[in-house]
Amino acid sequence: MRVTNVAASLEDDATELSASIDGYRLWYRFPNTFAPRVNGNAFLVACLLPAMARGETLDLEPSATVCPQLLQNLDLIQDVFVAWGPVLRIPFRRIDIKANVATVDSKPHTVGSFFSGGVDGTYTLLRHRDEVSHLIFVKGIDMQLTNDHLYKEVWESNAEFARTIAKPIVPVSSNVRFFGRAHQCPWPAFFGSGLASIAHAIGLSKIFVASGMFYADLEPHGSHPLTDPLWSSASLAVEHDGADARRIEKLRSIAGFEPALKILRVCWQDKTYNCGRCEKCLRTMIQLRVLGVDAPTFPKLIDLQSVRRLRIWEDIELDFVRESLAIANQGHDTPLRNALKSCVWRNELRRLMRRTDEIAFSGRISKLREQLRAKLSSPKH
Amino acid sequence: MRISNVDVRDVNDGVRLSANIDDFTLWFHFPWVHQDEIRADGLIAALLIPAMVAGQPLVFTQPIPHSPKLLQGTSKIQSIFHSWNPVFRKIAIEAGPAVAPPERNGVASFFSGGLDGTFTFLRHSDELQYVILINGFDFSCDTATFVKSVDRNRCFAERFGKILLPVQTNYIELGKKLRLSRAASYGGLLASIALNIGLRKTYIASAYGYVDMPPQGSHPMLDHLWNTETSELVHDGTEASRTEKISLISSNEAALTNLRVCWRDINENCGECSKCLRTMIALRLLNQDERLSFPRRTTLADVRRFAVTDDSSRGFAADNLALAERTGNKKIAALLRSSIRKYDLRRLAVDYDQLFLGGLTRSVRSWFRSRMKPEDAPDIWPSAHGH
Repeated sequence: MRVTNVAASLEDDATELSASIDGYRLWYRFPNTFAPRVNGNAFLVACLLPAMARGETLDLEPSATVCPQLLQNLDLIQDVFVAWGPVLRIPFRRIDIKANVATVDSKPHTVGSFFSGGVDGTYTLLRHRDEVSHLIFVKGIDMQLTNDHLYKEVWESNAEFARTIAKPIVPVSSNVRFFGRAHQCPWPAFFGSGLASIAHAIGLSKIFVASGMFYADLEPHGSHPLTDPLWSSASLAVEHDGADARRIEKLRSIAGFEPALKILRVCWQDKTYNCGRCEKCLRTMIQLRVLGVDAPTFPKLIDLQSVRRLRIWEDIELDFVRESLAIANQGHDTPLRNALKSCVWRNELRRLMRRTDEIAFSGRISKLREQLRAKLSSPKH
Repeated sequence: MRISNVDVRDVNDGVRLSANIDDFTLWFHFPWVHQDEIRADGLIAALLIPAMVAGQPLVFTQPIPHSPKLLQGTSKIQSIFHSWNPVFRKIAIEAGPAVAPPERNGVASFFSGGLDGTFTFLRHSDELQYVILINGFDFSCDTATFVKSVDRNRCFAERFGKILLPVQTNYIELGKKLRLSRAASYGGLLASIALNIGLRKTYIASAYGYVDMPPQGSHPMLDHLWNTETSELVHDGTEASRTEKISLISSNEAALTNLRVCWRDINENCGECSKCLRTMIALRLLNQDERLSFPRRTTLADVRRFAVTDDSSRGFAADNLALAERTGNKKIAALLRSSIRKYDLRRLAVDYDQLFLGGLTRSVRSWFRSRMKPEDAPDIWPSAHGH
């Protein structure tokens, strides 16, 4: 995997840092207030996991120098992701990196926190409000790059929030998420390195990456307290924050700050601000109801059948529902409590049945179901 | 938890560090220490987790200096432990002046001839000067047994030009007093010993992999948080599977001969317990001579006898199964596959019981436990879910 044509260009009031990765143009666009630094750190961080997924040497052109401390950290990153590969279902292999080394300065005292109005990012920002100097709002992470209408709506909400807390908000856009996906690294496995590469591109001195997991429920994941700090260099400290608080505790904390509650957004469906129907929206609505909080950006949770029938695919998401049930058990909302119990029970049964199939039948039942499904959905001639 | 009468003095055969922890006297015996002053760092590391489980602030009654970097690290250590199991409460630490320790010398690793420690030793052999062997924590044996272990491991270390540092302590008694499992406290204890000796860098061998790593006192997320400005703790070997470790060890005859994994005896491998059996199976699959460190060659009966009883032993069985498949040993592979399957089916039965019967079997066990005497109560583990 070759990284070439690393360049920075100025356009109006924005800088673009870009490179060609075997012909794929990877770019980061940010305001001119951050002077461009042409170096290889952002591209080293963005390309490592894709190169490992392909088992290819990562070769950066001579002028794309990288930080020696970052290079050393990536040795451990490689160990971790190779071990995690089978769980993440990506065939990561250890690879060689060819790059020239040099340190690069960051813009001093620029402490960023990724922010899009979501639960984790808002919690981290409020917790480190005194230290954070810039909110980093990225187009191309939780919405499509082409969704200008939704971007405008979200940007305006977030900008108003930033004015309320008297912090500058930095609009950034990048196709790094799509680069990962095009190179066998879907976002859940890639987003720690993807976000870190953005921070390297901008040239911050520190970046907070808000945790999506709780310490007691950690799993191999693209963003993890073990790996996020390893994307740091001598000039950029990457800090994974918030793994010591459960999601419902974070939401409770945000509910106590009205400007944040007013703009709360979790949806990734790219349709509206919060669609109110997807799994992310539903579990946030569940938690809001458990806490007895009304958020103006969400419809009230009335349809408890949708809660009972909620299909949970990841253990971590079932943990969020369990958190809600634990709180609901202490309250008086009996219909919600029963709906949550039913949801947890159904999903645990599904998991048990999948495990039974794997252990007792070597996965034959699910294979048979897939074949039947394919047959029934194929067009009849 | 008040720490008083912190004392470091030369004794006949080394240096003794002691302190009163309320009404308990904690002591360590070192062959030597690098330090010219009494510092709180080692005691903070040893006592943080016990103080958390006791729910009491750690208060030093003497104005002895501590490392500001270490104190900062303890904040995160507490967050992690408290998240793992809320029984570990966050506590305040009241220590003397914040003064970074002076420059340190020496690179060491903890070592007892076991699998993980030997792997780390071989891997960092060029860098190491010392190996540290502890009595009074993971095992607490009589003097004669410990002397035998010291002699054996000293011979081994000297073959590689390294110096063995035997350390003795009564820390195990403090753990028993608080019902604190060794799994929860051992990271802090190892850090304490490294900081008390005053080493620049100390390796702690990892017992788990990155995927199956449970909440444990020594953990890649934790060990570096015990660092001071001049001493570093390094969690090592997590990326290597057990069979990779055994493979490296078996390529070195001295290491293989010195290998001691046994639950029952620190100086001889019994060849019967689960730790011995899983290691013997791996050696047989690697076509190594188990008799260099075990009483006999491995038989298929040994493979049948290796019981998969929990997730940890399942992991070892799965590791050996992968090795058996790679090396084409179909008989051993079939036996291991069968053991793993039986365990998985038993686990499924327990989980179905939990789901459909509300955990009837667990309720019965809990009722039984409530009738246990306090001294029979289980130890406190890092995870709220138990082991």
